[in-house]
Amino acid sequence: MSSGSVAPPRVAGWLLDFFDPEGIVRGDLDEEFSRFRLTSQGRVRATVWYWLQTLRTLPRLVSRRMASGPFPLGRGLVSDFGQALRSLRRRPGFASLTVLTFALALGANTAVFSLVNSVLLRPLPFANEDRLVRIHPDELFYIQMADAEALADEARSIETGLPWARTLFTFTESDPAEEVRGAYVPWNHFEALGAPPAVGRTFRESDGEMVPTGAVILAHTLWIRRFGADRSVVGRQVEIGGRSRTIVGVMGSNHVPMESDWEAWSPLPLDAERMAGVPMAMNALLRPGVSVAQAQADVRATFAVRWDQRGEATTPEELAAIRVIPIREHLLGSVTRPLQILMGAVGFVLLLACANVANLLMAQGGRRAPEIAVRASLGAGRGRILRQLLLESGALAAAGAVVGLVMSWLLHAWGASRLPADLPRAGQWEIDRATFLFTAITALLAALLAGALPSWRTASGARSARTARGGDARSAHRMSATLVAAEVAASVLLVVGAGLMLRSFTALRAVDPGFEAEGLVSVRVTPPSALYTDTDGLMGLYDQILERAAAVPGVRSAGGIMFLPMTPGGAWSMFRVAGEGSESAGDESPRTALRVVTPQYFETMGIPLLAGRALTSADHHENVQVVLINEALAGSAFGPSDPVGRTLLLGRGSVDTVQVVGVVGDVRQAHLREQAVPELYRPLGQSPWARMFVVARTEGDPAGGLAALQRVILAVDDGVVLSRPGLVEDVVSASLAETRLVAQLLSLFGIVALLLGAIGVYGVTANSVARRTREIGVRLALGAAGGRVARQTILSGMVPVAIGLAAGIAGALTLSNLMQSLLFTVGPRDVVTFAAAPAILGLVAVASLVIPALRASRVDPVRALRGD
Amino acid sequence: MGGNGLLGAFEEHVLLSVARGGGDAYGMTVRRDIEERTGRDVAIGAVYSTLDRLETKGLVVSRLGHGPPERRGRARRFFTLALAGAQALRTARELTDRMWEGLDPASLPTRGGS
Repeated sequence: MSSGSVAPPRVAGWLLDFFDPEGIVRGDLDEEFSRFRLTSQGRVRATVWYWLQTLRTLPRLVSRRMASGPFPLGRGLVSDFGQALRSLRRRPGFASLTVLTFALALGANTAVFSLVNSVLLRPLPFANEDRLVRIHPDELFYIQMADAEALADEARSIETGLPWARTLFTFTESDPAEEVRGAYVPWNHFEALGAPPAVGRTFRESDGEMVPTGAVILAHTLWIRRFGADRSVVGRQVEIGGRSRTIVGVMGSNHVPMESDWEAWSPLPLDAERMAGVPMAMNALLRPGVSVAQAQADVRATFAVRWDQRGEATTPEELAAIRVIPIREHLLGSVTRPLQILMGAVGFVLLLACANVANLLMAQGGRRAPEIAVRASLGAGRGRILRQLLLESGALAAAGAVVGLVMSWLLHAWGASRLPADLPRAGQWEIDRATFLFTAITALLAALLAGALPSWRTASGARSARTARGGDARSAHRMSATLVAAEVAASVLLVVGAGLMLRSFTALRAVDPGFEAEGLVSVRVTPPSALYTDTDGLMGLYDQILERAAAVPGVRSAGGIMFLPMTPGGAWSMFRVAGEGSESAGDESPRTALRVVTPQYFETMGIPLLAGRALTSADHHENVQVVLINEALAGSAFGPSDPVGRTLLLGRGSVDTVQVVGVVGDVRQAHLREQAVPELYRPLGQSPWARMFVVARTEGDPAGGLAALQRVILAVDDGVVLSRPGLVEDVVSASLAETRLVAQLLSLFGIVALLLGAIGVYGVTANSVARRTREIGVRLALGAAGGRVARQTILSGMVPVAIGLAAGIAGALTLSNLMQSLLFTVGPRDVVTFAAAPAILGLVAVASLVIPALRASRVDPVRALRGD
Repeated sequence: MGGNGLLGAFEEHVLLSVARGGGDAYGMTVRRDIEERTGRDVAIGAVYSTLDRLETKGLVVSRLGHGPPERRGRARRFFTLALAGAQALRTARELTDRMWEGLDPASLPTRGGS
């Protein structure tokens, strides 16, 4: 969003530009808008005023534009358009229902398209996008610096190797200190991407020589948040992590980092030795003309040779795990499917709306036959009448598009803050010119789709109407019934999609993460590195923090862990069970996740101790090294035998010997969707780790508890940096964001579909009852019971519904496979959803048939027979 | 409005506003002027429709000119009263005055049926 608070509404501006290229009207409105602002009228009032002016002025601009536009549709167009508008004004009920129908569909399409366009369709901001790849060296995606350099040198397909390491930048200058996630990248990283900074310069080779590295580039978000978008920060020295660094550049707002949470970059040291042992990930710029498949084969071959030289054999599985992935697929691959599903869903909503409007127009056509006949007899040709009818549906669609734009803007306002945090380019979601164009074209297509057939019929009916009033109503009814069946089928698709997502969401929300998130608060503590260098120092710090935190009123207990569940970060170790297998752990040894904790962590989180004993403050470096393992590790390493008391050897070469003293419950550390992995917990006293999350279980107001926790920590040492304070519940909830958003949107579209479907079913039967009033009257006069007539009306109304349901289910069975990757525990052919969706639709259909059925049963035979 | 050469009420308001502008009137000033004097919320599109019609009838003439920066380069369309327009206003005023002859606004009833 632009920060210009005095800018008039953009979409309204485009509408004016589109229909009044000279811009005289828009200029006047803009001028007056800025005066409005000066005279202290609220922004909202000024915006509403601008929109009302625009909407009231558009019809005139549109008709003028059509007369002189690039494709003048012949003489008399302006007067025909005026005629169309007047004709619609005489039928406000029909007109507003149609506009609303179009608006719902076009609004949904506009909102979803704008999101798809912002995230997926726009090119990535890399000049070298087509040559950029991500390299996954193994299933854990990590590589050593030396290997990365060798790979870049030896693989002929790689022009520039781009290894990187995650890091945290602690901006300590001025309060409050802030921790920012970012990366060490090669000095030529941005050059290789083809992504120059928006302000300042990129890194130079000499930036990598300084030890410790002294240059930093900021992301746009960080620049705005922490430096108030001040251009003069470039060249300024700032204190980061207690050292001085120079800000050399700021990336543009459209930059997409290699990992979505980065907000700062520093150059890797030129001396690769300094990065030895640091886990790196790797991107690369391929040579021109090299395909991804060639590069992948090349990278695999290079690794095989390198490992061979080291005397390590490579298994086919290891080679297959090495993958080269195009950057677009790497960055956007995981969000493509959900966005496609949403786009498909709104496409069906649009088709449904068109079918609905077509039905409404058809019914109108029947009623307007006399009017049309009069026109025809006054000399209007069929073409002219057809044109006027099409202009009517065009005007309706245009009005629908305008209201839809407003709706999409509301949807944007509602949804922008609800996008999953890991959605790339989420912050760049905007309703832009491309969206506007999309909406305009879609509205035009919708007008044709909905209007062509009914207009043709009505216009053709003009001649026959002169002789036989009413025309061939039966075939009109058949056509309407077909449209209703299609509507019901499309509704089934949407309701099934919504149902599958809702069931997945419910299942995901019911997942037990392995701890009790409610009432938990957490904050990350970064001690000043110079002061806490040894185990005793760190132990002293965290002992004091936790002791004082637990004494805070409203805090029941407090503990610490290196990485809180469902936050990024992790550590792994190879391990071997003592007395089993080969004596020294090789590369084939299994891995386990590893976390450092304080003894109070498990009680605070509500993670149960299943066997053995808990950790205590006596588990420090002078005593025997102990670990707790989770159920998954107990199962995978020890099978059915009791792990308590057994010994594990940790690390490559089995350097650490630790004793298992207890087993704790599994925790979903990465994501609610992902099963717990084998994991062990080491006490802080035996495995020092400086930066810890402190979690506290609060009673009563968690926000107050969180504030108190932060105060207590700063009271222990006001030199520590606190970051990412929050409720653990929110962290867990973020894990649900994608499923929740897709479920919410699909439900919204499903409800719209039900609504439109109901209107369609109602409309076609109500019309049929109106048309058959005489026939029904005769039957009632001959003694048929009213109840029977009502029943028959409902039954015949349900015929197209039943056909639509069957077609819809068949379609949904075919299409639901596409949703597989979005679903959780429910299959794409989930029986409950596939039973419930048609049932709901059937009920809605019956409900919408009740009124016409009652009307049929209450036909007064005398009046019905006398009429006409 | 009609073909009888008489001005409609809104046309008359627009024309008066153009006259008051003395050559510097454009859509926005006319719109504001009418809104402030009559208290009616007026759409800019209605003002321009009327101005177009008045120009076709030869009652006003328009020219394009520059505007302040908030228009971002979009031209202003200034309107000046033509001689025929001045005549039309005078006629309208005369007719109104003649119709009012012998009537005092204060003497008219203040409540009752419409």
